[in-house]
Amino acid sequence: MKKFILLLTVGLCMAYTSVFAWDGKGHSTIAYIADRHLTPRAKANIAKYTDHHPIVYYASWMDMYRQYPGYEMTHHWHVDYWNESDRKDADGNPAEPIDVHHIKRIMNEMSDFRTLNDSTVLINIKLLVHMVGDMHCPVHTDFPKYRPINVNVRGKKVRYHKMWDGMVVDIEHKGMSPLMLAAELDRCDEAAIADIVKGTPDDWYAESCAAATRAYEMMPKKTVLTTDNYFNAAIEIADTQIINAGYRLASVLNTIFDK
Amino acid sequence: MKKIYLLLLSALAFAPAANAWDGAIKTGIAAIADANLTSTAKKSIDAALGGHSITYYAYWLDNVSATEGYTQTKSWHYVAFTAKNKLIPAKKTAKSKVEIVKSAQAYEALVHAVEVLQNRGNATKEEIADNIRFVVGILADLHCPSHYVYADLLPQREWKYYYGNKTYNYMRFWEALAFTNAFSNWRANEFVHQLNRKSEEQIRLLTSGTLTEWIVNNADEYRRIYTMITPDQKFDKKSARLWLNQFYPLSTEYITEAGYRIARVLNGLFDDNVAPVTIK
Repeated sequence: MKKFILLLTVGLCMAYTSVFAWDGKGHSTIAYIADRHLTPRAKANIAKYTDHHPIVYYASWMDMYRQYPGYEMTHHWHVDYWNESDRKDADGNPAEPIDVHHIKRIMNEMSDFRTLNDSTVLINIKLLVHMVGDMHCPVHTDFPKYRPINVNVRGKKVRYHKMWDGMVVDIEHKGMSPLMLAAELDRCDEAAIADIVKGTPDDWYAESCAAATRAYEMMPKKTVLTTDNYFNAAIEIADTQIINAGYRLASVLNTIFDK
Repeated sequence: MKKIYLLLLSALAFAPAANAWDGAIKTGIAAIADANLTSTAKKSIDAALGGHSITYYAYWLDNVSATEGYTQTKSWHYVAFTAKNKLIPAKKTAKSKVEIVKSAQAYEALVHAVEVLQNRGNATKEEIADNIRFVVGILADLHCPSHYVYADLLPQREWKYYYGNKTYNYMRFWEALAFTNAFSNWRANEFVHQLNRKSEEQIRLLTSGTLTEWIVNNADEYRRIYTMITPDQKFDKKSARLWLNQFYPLSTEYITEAGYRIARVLNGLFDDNVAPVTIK
């Protein structure tokens, strides 16, 4: 009996365990911020392909379909290992970061989106909505040396990657839904937004790498324990990355669809 | 320690009736309904509810059965159907020896609530408020597949599935939809923002037909959940994700449909410019 109750308890707790990169909350917040900055024409054009769903409806679609038959190739598009020295493309040249590569490829393909069939446009929207977000998550601009690290978050041993995927935002913004969080974070004026969206996906990626380095270097030395102090500082990086991702996603989509 | 487990078990034993459409799902349904009330209907309903909206009372029905005078509502969460998809009336289900069938009296409770509101000139303020809350709670429940009890599928209600080395209850899955993670961060405003996007024509189609037809059609549709799993099915991380992807679009449709239909019923009752929904 006791065993059954224990199983049931653990089962129900497990049922609420989160599994998404940046977690559902981070990705949804990014998409909501982007949604608030889409031009009316871009929004109307996008809606034609999404059956009127907002882009946030697809914020975690890539996580849900990464192993779905036909989409397996996208499984490796979430995290980049760009600084591995042996990473080369087919011609032996240093490979482009995988997410940057696909974001640029899709932006190029979508430059004349009306020539593409509807399902291709929809898939590309789903990919962009997620990958621009992933690219800004500190553990998705991955450094091999950080990968095996385990941390202790309030007594729970978790991967450093998993902590950044969801726990930082979940713990620091507990009780806030993505829509509320988007409204809270979306406070930049036009000049600041223009500054954030300038540059290319390569530039944005370089910034994300710098944020990833800062996040790692803030870790307490000689210990794997993650303290609340770390979370208080980490959330500043997380929020900045979420805000940047939101504005940049809007910029990418406006460039494609506002015509 | 043993005491804590026993308490937990007692709480969980009541979970199916108390937590239909877990999380914020029912709040989301009520919020979609609220967003689709006509201004005339909303004004009357909010006044009847003491200034609160129907969203405020989304889970009221789930919580009220312990209150004196409301114990009968414990049986108002389920409906039962025969193998040929005929609704089993409450006077028959009440005689069943199977607890879940016995408590399947939601249809009659819903019809009664609508009738009281149709004739609310004879009702007290409290009765009007209660019956609005009954409509909101029962119609939300009746868009949750696990709230349909099929006489020919009773053993299936006990189906379990396994993820890793853990055991899960399939009916519980439908009540919580927890594993989908889809709604774990959603509050009422997220449901409205993301799902309240049907065109007028789509809403008209979803809300056409009678109250009884909605429930009978739902019963037919929701049988499909038993084709989406096999008893004791075992999942690993990949197969679980592939499996779960089937549910996301279905569950969002059921939730959206519930919201529009609640609004349709209440608009028909509280706005003279809207034709009332026919019961049969």
